[in-house]
Amino acid sequence: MKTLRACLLRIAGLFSTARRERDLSNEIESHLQLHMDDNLRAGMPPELARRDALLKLGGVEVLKEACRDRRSVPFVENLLRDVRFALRQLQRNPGFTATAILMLALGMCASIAIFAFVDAALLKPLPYRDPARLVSAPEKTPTSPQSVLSYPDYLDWKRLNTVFSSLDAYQHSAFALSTASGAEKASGARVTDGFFRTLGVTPVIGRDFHPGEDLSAAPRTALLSYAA
Amino acid sequence: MPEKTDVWQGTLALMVLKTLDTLGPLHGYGIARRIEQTSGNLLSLNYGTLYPALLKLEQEGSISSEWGSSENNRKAKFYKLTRAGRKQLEQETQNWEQTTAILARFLSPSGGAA
Repeated sequence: MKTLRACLLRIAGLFSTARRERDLSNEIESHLQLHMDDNLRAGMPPELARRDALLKLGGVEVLKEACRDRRSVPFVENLLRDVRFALRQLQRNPGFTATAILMLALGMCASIAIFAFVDAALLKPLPYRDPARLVSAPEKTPTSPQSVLSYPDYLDWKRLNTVFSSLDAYQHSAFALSTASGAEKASGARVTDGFFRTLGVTPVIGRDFHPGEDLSAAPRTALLSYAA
Repeated sequence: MPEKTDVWQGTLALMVLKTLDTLGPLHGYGIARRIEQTSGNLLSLNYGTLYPALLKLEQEGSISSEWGSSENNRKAKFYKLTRAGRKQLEQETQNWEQTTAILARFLSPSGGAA
């Protein structure tokens, strides 16, 4: 309790330093005055009286420093003084300041951008039902490490699959969207019927694709996503 | 003339509290003089060391301070014991007495075996 009180007061001591400093100076002056009075009464010559009082006090500046250390938190006080000094230096040299700030800003932007990418691509789990069990299985040929799978091959893979609980295919593509002001490019993907069930996502409104809806004979259906 | 002893660490606070308890509100210089006199001038007290100690006691709430006038009409900061300070004085007096009693037994001629 006592220590807590002292701590709080020392933190408060970081502020209104001018008043406390004045108070301390007055107190020391008053001390010297009282001591001198005593010395004079004892018959000491005036110049010796003050000298003796000062000597007995043991250095005014040392005393002030000791009281300052006790009054507030020296570490924080020094830190604040350093910060103020740094700001003054920066103010005196605006060109350097601007360059430094620019460099820091660029550095931070680059780091943030890289981190955001790494975070989204590697750190955050995919927003699907069971991301740990989700794998991408591309076709690998001698000429291309990741080639486009043909539809008959997809059907074969699906038929022969014994290791995955489900297997579906997708292909990024762009579609022409006719609007009032003409045709617009809309990016999208062609997917097989079970695609969203494999990912474990359900549409917010409407319905998922029915089995068999990916056949060429089936009527064309589409699911709209939020703009990615 | 016998060698003067330095004030032991931690005992200064107790001396200050006791002085204020005995004499009532007093300024730093008065406290210093009183401590010196009470010790029969055997203690060499650097007056300057008193002020950080007073500051610490005030921060801990054992004493409080107020500006006033001395008997010969000088402005001075007077310190006085608070209720918490009186309690602390009691406690520390007890501790000190216990410590000295224990030490005294060790140092007595019978060597504490009695």
